[in-house]
Amino acid sequence: MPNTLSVQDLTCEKGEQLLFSNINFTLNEGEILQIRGVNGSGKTSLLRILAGLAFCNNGLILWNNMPIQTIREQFAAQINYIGHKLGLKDDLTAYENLAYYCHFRKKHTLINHALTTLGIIDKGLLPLRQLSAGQKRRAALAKLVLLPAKLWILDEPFTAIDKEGVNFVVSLMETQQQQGGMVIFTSHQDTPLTHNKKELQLSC
Amino acid sequence: MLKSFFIIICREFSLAFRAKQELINPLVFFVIVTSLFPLAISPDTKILQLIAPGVIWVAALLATLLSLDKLFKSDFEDGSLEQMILSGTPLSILALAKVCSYWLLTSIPLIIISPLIAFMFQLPVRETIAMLLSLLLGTPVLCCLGAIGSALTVGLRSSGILLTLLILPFYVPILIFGTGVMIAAITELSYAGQLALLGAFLVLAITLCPLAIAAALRICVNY
Repeated sequence: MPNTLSVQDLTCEKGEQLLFSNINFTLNEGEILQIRGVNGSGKTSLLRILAGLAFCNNGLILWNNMPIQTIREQFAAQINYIGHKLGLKDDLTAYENLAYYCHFRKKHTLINHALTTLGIIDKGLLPLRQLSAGQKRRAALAKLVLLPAKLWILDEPFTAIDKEGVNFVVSLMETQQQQGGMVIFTSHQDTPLTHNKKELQLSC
Repeated sequence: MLKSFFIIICREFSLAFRAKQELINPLVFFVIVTSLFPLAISPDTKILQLIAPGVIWVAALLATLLSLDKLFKSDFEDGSLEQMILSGTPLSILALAKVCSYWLLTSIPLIIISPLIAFMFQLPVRETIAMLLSLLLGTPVLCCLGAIGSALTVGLRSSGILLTLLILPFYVPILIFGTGVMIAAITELSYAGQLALLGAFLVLAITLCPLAIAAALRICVNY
């Protein structure tokens, strides 16, 4: 059965302020969704709600017609979320960080391949605190190569990385799309991705 | 599931051994605080034996609290906590692994050094054994309860003192039964009853606390 993510009447309030309301979309296999919006329009909040990290005030998020709150662990195992906080330990090396992640999902191989793909294989054995912001982001994005997931949720994946890095990430998204995966990401940049791509504009 | 549990413990150990200072602090605190009392009160054997249970237990309890506020803080700040929530393994299992590694890294060294402290307080062997047993059963409960407080206050900027105020009242029963074991031993009574109660606390804490910790952590990432 093909996977679908469908969002119905999603509303989110922060404090007393309404961030967004009545968001509706459906994402099928092989589709990419880019979320746009000015700063503070709730892009990050929306992604956190979609990943199941934050609660929404109203609305439904259905993964294969099941509300994600009821299938928390199963849903979590199908997604790959990279937020503003990268989830990497500064005291560990890039290699170790990734190694711990693949143990989490019971996979041993391909760490070096992932680091090579993201172009930081020569930095793999340095403690992460010695890497630049862009290199750290690349290390976090190496998780996408390492851990296959049906749905990628990426918050500003192009932040801090150079042009070449952006092209890498775009090609990763294309591969994910070809393999029948889904991608949801936020970015202000225009990307060369056009095939099967949806856009969602958030407005205050 | 079991594998994720051990992976977390491995990760905590490799992180801890990269910041060794943090590792030694509770131990040094425990040794210094306990050695202040004989100096301040009296070196008399009778008095030392009388105050030993209280002093050792209170010092062990405070040493446990010492770095508890950092238990989930770095995970929260660098985003590892979010990744743990989304790892597909139940969060309570991972929380239990964090608590286990915290206990192994802070309380075990303290228990290992405690016979030395007992020697300083001139405790007889029977009471030293009672002390070891009570600490072995009691300190994991302290870690479990403290981790709930740590999880609840993880999103706050200065959580240290709030955490202490929040958690200390819940430490009272453990303190009573922990010192109870040692007092029973010194008055040459059987201390099996108090020890059994500590064991019951431990079973209860290990089964229920991870659920509370996981729930608290989920609330904290919801911002």
